[in-house]
Amino acid sequence: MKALYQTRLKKNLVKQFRYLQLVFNDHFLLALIIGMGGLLFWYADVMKRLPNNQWYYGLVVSVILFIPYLFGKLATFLDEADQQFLWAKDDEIMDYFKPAKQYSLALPVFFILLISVVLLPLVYFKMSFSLIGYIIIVMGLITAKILNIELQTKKQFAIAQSYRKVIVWSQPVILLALIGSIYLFSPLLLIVAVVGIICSRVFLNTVHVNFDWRQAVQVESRRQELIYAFYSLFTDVKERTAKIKRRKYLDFTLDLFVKDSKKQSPQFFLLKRTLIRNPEYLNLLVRMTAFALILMVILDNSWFTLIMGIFIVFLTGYQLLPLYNQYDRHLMYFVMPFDSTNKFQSFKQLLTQALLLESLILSIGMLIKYGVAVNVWIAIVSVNIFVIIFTYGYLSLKLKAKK
Amino acid sequence: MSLKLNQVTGGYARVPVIKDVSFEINPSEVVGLIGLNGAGKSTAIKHILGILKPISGEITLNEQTMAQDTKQFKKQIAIMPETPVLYSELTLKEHLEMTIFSYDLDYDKAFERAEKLLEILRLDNKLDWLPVNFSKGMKQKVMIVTAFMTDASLFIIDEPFTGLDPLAVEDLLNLIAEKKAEGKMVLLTTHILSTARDAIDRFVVLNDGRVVSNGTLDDIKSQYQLTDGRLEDLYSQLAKRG
Repeated sequence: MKALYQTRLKKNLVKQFRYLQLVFNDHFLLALIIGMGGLLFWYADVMKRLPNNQWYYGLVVSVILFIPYLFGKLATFLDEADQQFLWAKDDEIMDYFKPAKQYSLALPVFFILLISVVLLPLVYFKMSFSLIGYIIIVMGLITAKILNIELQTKKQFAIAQSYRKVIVWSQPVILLALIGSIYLFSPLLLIVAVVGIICSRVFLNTVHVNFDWRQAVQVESRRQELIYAFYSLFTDVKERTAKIKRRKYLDFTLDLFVKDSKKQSPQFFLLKRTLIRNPEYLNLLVRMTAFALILMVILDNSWFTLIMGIFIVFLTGYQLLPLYNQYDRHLMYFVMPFDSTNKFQSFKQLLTQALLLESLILSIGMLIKYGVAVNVWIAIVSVNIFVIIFTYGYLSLKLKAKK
Repeated sequence: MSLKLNQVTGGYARVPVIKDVSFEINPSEVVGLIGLNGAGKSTAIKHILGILKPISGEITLNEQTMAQDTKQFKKQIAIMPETPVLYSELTLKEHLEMTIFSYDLDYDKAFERAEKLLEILRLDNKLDWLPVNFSKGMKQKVMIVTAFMTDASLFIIDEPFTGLDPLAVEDLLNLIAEKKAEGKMVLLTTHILSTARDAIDRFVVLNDGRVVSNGTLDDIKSQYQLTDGRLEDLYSQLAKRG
């Protein structure tokens, strides 16, 4: 079982590395370095100006230190099929979890250390805290994380509901102990964490209980989903399966601008519902529009806003292009008697509607921000003309070239 | 009106899976396409549907090939695939509408027909559900409804009996009989011969990609010297000959 985990870990590391390469691409790294530089500069500046020994510093430090403690779930790499194939291996699952616990600790411990080093100037100079005391607190926090991972492991067994709550209740206790160690007695957190580990070993005995495979697999898939959701901000993640949502509240849009609801183009009918119910597409539209609105609030020049608006409309349209080929490999889409010429027309119509909606929202935003002025009207008309150029000009070129 | 496969050879990437396959289906006829796993049943169906192109040979439906008029050809076929294939973004009702729009059916009449089918299959209160909420059997029932609500002339039903409850199996057999009475053609593949034998008029037996028999139940029984009631023995004989 141990070897199985190691193999899975290796496979997973290769995969994570591949995605991290995509996440930390040149542009992002550059932005990150500039951002970090700015942040450090700001921090150094704040350090100079902050008054010494304010009573609330302890609270601030506790909360910031607590964040990396919350971060980090038990990485089990359990697979859906394990419910079937490892089902009889209940008694050996603890062997499987041993390396899992170690691996799951690495990243949170790294972040705890990183944050504590970042906080060191504040703690040492502004709070006049002893270095030894601070090290003991950080050790306490790491021990608390060990306890946390231990509890997460035990939660995967079919233990009583009340025990499952232990993990929820342990978190405020750890936070309180952390605050206590800063204000009252440095080793408090360490003591609480060690006692917690001992108690969990003594009272949360899992030897004679079944392993809850179904739950464990669900927990792991949620954990991975979260990581993939992060990656999907930067790149396409093939492991991610879109969860279709019904979104009944958007039903009113379905037959909007439809001449005869009883005689529709089947492709348009299908694509429109896909756009609205498949989070991959709707989220994109919403995210890009929200991003444009945020930029509009920040930018203070209507011409800048215009260029940005056009750019965002272009990006939205470009990123929605995969919708065109969404059903190419769908059996029923192939078998049903569609008019093949209708596919492009339907997509063009839908994309025009979606982008015009986006540019309408941007236009309203511009009117609110800059008021009714000539250059605002020029900007609004330009964005809308751009939508038409994009859907009627660019789209034909792009998709026909693809064929 | 008929479906004709004329010496069709075809498969994946120039590796023939079906070889020289010929058979036809006439109006009011239910043809059972049977054979062991990998005999070429699904491949034959894929060729009829145009998913695979024959390396040689020709498939005509009512004297027309698919290349002559793809839309018209497809409109004459309704399919119930082995594994239900639904659009995850569409509700049950929207699947019915999708069928109406793509087969150019009269909305009200076709919807009325669909509602009757939904009632028979006990799905009538689930019109607003997305496929993600359906069990496998329910998805199969949706495929039955969307296939049988059309006015196609050929119904292709691929291994329909696994996953359906006994009531639904009976309903499906009744629907097949109805279509047969209306003069439609039905192509049915299945391994469960005990269920299907009474519904099938003629059996086309495929083995290793070739048609090895084509005839009524009695023809098959005498060809393979099967004792009555044990049509399944056919399979072990096919395996021996394979």
